[in-house]
Amino acid sequence: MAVDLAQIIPPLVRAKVNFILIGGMAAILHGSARVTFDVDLLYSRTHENIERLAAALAPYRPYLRDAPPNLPFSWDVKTIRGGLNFTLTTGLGDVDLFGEVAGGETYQDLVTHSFDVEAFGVRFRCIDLATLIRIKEAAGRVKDREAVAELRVLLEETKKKQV
Amino acid sequence: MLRKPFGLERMHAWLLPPLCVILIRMKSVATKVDAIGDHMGDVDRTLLRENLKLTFEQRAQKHLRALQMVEELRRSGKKLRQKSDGR
Repeated sequence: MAVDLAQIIPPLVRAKVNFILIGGMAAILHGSARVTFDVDLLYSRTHENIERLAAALAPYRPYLRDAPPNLPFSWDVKTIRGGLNFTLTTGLGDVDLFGEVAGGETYQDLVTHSFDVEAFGVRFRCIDLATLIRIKEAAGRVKDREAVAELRVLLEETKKKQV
Repeated sequence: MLRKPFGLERMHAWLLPPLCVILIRMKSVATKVDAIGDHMGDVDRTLLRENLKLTFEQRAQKHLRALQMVEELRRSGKKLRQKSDGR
């Protein structure tokens, strides 16, 4: 299922969920030409935010991606508090929720490395390009090397544009 | 006859394994950096410059269209494989 940011982001913003868009979709907003199939979000682990996140996604029936059907999985505050990172399939497409990213950084650590984006009729936070590169490099995945190379080129091009 | 440095083999032999580990690690890090640097030369800058002219929303819409095309191609490929398997 093609994941559409315009469908996923507004319900979260309207529910006042604190999150930062990271990963491939953040790269797209920075100008990447690569195709990505899911949305990666770094969410705040405060109790209030977990409550808001649970309620905001519940109507879209989140379920563990690639897991066998009929597992005793329920999307609620207890599940989110008991876990950290979730790879989910939802009625809006695939969503990866991160309580922390490679290197152990959390929402609170990275919120100062994000900026406001106004799109799809709402305003939300997106990770800045330099930090996105740093996170991808920290993950150290071979599959990310081409993506990191593209992001570094984007950083060069963005700086040139600003001069 | 060449004179060996004072007691090097015996006194500092224990240093060699950790030194080797450090050198191997340094080499692997250097290789990773080089690998990314090599990929940078292959990136199509014209495509990125075009994307940078767009707004955030336009970039997301462009990506969605590309994604829908990929999914359509996947579906066609699947149908084709099913058809050829049925033959």
